[in-house]
Amino acid sequence: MLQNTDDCRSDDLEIDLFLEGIYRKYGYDFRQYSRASLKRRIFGQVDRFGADNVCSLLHKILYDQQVFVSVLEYMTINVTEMFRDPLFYKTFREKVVPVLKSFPSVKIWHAGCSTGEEVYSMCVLLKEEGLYDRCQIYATDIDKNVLEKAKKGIFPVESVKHYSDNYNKAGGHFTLSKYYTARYDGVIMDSSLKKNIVFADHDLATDQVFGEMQVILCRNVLIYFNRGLQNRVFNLFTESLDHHGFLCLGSKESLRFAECNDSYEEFDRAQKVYHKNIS
Amino acid sequence: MFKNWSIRYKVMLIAFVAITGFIVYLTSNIYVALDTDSSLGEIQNENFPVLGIINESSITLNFVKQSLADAVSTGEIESVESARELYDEIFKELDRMKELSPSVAEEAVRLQGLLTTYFDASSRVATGMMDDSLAPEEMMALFPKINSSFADLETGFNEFRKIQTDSFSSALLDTITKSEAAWQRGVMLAAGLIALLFAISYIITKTLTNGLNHAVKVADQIAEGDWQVDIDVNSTDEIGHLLSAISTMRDRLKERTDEDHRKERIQSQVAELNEQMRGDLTLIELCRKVLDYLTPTLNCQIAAVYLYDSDEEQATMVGSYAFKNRKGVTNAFKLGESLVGQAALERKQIRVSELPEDYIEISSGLGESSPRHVFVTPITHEDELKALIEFGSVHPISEEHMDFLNSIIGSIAVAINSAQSRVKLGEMLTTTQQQAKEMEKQQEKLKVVNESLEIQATELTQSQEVLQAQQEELRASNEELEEQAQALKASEESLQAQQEELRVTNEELAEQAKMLEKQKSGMEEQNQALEQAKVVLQEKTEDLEVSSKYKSEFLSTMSHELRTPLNSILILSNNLASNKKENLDEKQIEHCEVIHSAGSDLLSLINDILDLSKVEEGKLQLVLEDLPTEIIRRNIQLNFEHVAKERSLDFGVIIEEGLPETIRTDRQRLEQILKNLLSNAFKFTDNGGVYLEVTRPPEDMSLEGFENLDRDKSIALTVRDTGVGIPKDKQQLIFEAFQQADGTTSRKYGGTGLGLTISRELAKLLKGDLRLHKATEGEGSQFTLIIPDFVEDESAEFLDAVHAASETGEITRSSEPVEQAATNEPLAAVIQSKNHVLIIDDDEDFATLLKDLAVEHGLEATICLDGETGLENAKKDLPSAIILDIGLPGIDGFDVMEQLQLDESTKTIPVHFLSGSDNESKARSMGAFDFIKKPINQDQVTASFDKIQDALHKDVNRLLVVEDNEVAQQAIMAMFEEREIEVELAISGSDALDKIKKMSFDCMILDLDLPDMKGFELLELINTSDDYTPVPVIVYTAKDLMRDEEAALRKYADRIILKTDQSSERLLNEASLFLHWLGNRDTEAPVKSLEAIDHRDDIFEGKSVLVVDDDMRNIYSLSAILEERGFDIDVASNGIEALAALEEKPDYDLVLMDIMMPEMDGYEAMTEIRKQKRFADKPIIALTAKAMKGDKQKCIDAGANDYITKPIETDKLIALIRVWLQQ
Repeated sequence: MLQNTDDCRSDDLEIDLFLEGIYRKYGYDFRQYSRASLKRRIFGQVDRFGADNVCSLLHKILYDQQVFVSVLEYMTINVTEMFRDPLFYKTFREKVVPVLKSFPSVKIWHAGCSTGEEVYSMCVLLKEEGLYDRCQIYATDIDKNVLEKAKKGIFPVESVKHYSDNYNKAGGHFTLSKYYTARYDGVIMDSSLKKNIVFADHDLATDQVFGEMQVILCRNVLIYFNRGLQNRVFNLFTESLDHHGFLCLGSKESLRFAECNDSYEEFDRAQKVYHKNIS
Repeated sequence: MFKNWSIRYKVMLIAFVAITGFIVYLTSNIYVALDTDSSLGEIQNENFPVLGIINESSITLNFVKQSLADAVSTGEIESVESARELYDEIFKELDRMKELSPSVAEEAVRLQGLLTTYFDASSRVATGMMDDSLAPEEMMALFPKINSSFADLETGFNEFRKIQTDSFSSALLDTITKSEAAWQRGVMLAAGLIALLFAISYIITKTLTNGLNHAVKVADQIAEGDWQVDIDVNSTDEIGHLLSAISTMRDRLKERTDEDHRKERIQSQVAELNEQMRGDLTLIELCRKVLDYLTPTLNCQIAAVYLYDSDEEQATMVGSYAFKNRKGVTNAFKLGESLVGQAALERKQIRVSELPEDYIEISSGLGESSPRHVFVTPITHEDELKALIEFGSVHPISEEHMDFLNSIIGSIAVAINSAQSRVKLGEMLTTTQQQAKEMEKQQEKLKVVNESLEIQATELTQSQEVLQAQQEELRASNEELEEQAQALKASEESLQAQQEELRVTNEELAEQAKMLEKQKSGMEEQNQALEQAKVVLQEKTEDLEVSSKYKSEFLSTMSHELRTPLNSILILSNNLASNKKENLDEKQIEHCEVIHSAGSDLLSLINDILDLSKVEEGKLQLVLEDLPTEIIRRNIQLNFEHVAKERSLDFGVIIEEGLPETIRTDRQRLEQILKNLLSNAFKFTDNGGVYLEVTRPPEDMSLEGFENLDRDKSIALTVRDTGVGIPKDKQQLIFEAFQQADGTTSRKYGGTGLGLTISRELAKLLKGDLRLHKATEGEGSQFTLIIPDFVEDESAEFLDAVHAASETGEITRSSEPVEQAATNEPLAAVIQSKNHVLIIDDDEDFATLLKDLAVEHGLEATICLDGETGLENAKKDLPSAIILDIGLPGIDGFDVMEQLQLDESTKTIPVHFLSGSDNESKARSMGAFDFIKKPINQDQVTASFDKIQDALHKDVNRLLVVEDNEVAQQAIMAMFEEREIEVELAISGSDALDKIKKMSFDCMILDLDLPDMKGFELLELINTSDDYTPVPVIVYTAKDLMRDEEAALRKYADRIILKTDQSSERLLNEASLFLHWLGNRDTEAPVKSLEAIDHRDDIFEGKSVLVVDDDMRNIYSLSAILEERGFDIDVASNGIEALAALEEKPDYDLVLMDIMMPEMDGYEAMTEIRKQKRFADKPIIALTAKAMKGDKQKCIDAGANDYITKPIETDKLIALIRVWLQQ
């Protein structure tokens, strides 16, 4: 859709106001998310609610919490699968786990865990490597609904075949079915996998460090943030990470342009695993 | 000798003499003076005072006397006293005199005696006279005494006085004489002394001055230059010294002057020689010149000079002075040869004197002589021997000349050297000149070469420039490259950003794809359903067609068949009624009329039915014409005027202003509708009026749903009456076929009840609508027909009755139940109880778990503990889902299921079985509990254990044996000894229950015959009571079990299996999936998870925290932070208090536990807290000051969920709390 620059600016202004309104009313800070995709989604929301424009949607949001709840669900994209990018998990298993085994206890933080596929994948991996009992896992996301789903650990049965493929490619020792129960249209992950997981609501844009981690995974979350927010998040991670801690990013993400780049060295370049330097 | 004294002593002599004389003089004077002094002193000190004393005393004596006399005369005692005083005074004076002059002491004493005598007597007399104490005789005796003593005294005094005076004056005279003599003596002495002095000083002075003058004279002469002056040293005193010094000085001066002269001479000679040697002389010339000069200067007569060649080590004569070459005497000497060579070798001067006569000859023109002395001197320059010179002379060479020579040698050497150098230079010059010539030639060559080089140089410069330019280009391109590199980096960044965006887009797309997939599958389902429906529809349509065909055939036939006899009836009855024959009575006529009327009714009914069916079939065709509204009015009026009149009702047709003059519609049908309405109106109105109003559709008439009815382009024809009206609950019914508002109205008002139905259909035909606008019971009704002004001329379509539009708000049709296609999956049925799950399970605990699960999924849940209640509930509430346990008391799960299926209302509710897995059903069938027949046998038990292990995936480690018979006990125990299984014995049911309460067992071997209760009862108890954890059981018994007993046991067995940990989990998981599936079917999302979302930060509001810390400051600061955010805070200062606080209020949302505390520390406290089951999940965050990894782990091990290190960062704490608060 062709717009002249004046319209674009007005659009941006509307979006700014929209995001500011959400932040002030509900405390969710989307102001520094990557603008282009956020815009698309917001416009999508406008259509979905039949509002005339972004401002009228904002009006609805401010006065009707249910509308906000509904909108919130669509503000973040939750595309995820178990053992997504199986090579990453394979690399993690083969290279990172041996290092982790030398720690007496391991704290792992999945930042932006969405519906939890990644978290459960990691738990399966850790269980198979005999590391699970030593681990305390924090799974955080900004969206409470999504956290609820993650807590349940129920995934659609159609996806399981694909997940199993991924699991095998990621070097799984057994079969994924060992870890879930299937019935009706869903599979539910074993509760033994949930034992050491803490699900919590945490906003990377506004919240602070809450503990010392040995591993932080933040995959395909940062792509939604603008450069400034990315830096903030990186700094947060750098502060949270222990010496010799690991930071894992998504396959299309990179630390190279971050301010804190110097604090890390590439542990595995292809899979975007970084190792925090002593400094 | 005197002369040789030093001047000092001489002068001192004078002084000495002077002083001595003076001293003598002085001494004598002093002596004299002293003498005089003492004499005078004596006088003064002795004589004079004595004299004085005497005088005074004599006077005083007189006074005494006087006083005493006074006393007598006056009789005053005081006078006596004063006399006494005076007496004392005299006495004292006399004492004094004694002291002063011991020589008169004797006299003094005598006087004193006299005095005393006198006074005593006198005073006595005096006193006696005064007081008459004295006898006159005494007095008489005393008087003479007094007088005598007094006279003596006086005399004494006088004499004394005289003596003294004499001595005094004689002494004085003496003194005077003495001093005079002394004075004369002194004068003489002084004079002599002066003379002496005078003489001495004169002598001395003379001596001194003589000597000095002489010295002066001598000095002057010396200064003049007279060295010969005579110096007379005739004394050894200072003057003598002076003179000798002058003499020495003179000598020295002389010497020096001589020396100077000599040196001068030498200098001038040297200068002369130098002068000679100056200039560019050849070596030979130089040597000659030197020789020529030196020889006479040195007072030699003959000389030769040799040049030394260092290469050949040979000295060769090059010049001579007055020398005649003698044959046989060589002119060249090697080192060491002859004196010359020797001198050359030693580099020393050699002098030889006393030469023999024929050594050499000095000859002049006038004579000859032989030199007596020869002298050779080497001449060296900078350690190089240059030459030697030999001198021969008659006289020895003087020192002076030697000096001169030595001083000149250096110059000569230099000169020789210079000359040699010059020679060399000359040679070199020639060489150089030659070389120069050669060089010139070469230079020519070089020039040529140079030129070529220059050319090359220029070429080089050019290429340098080119290089420069290239360098700059290179630099420029370097910079460009750098720019590009930066640009590349920037574009890399943006590429990264794009990649990220791309990823985002990808994910969006993926999400959308997923959604589309969902939609697609949804749509596919819908499609399938549609397909099915279509098929069904198709069939039905076909059926319909067939039936409608039949219907129309039937109708047409029937209409004909019906009408024919009906006609006959009508005609004939009419005929009869008219009674033309007049043979009928009234009653009979009435009968005929009735028959006729009935027939008419029947006919009109048939007509109506036919009409209706035609209309419904769509067989009616519209006949459109332009109908003037006036015509409508006229026709209506004509038709109903008389009816109105007959019924005495008001009637009117009102046409509103502004309506079009004509409307295009089907007149016949329009009139039919209006007639129907009006006749109805008239039928049901007893009084009042009926009106037809033609207007534009009023505002309160909704046209929704009728797209072709435009408010401005349609007209409303309203039939308003003031009749009986229509009760509300019948308002819908009236349009139904064959329905009237009141089933009885037909009796009263006639009519078949089809009219409105047909009218409605006709209205639709006319592209309009017929509706009951208003109707109030008792007041009247308003029916309105709305039609468009203009109806299109096309074959009329109308809606299928089956799919009558149910969207119009005013007419509703009852929804028909949708028939289900037969499928195995329970489909969506009547969902009147949305989001409600029914749980049928006798295990209350498990059921509660299921209920929690349901709540998590946003559903409400009800629990029923047995099958019957469950069924009742299901039928009543019609929940959206049922979770059903198999093992129920009373009817079991299967039975419940059957019942549910049988009941229409419940058969479609989805049911989830809490069933065992396949393995377990197998195990069940084999018996996870088992039967063993007595006597018990090890193999059987082993087999049973294996079965249990298989079924439950658990090893048997601890076993409870319930057996009362001792022998049997022993036997069983023996069986397990080797197997490392812990065995507990119970001897009765209650004993067993006790043990089960206290410990957990993996298996129980149960004898059914127990003393206190039957085995069944025990099992029942265990199963139903919460205090006992169900245990897998091996039952053994002696007897055969009855059927029902077996069944009971089996049931129990099921429950055990189902209720072990693993299987409950599995069951819960499956139940969870069921509920999830349930939720997915329902398009409305469950509301629960979307609880009121306040501001994100408000989750802390109202949450309660227990802060445990012994340090008040920490508590204070923590409280401040937390309260600010809305927490309710309670405080404990050690572990014990913390536990107490938790007892009091078990539902804290969070506990913050410090580690270092007195009495009970954090570790202990947390361990204690976690021991209690109810606090197993309570979020506890430890506040530890220790930062070592081990300590942190200790916190976790002690039971903390997480920890934060001190000093506490507020943000971190809040973030951590937020995380754990949500668990």
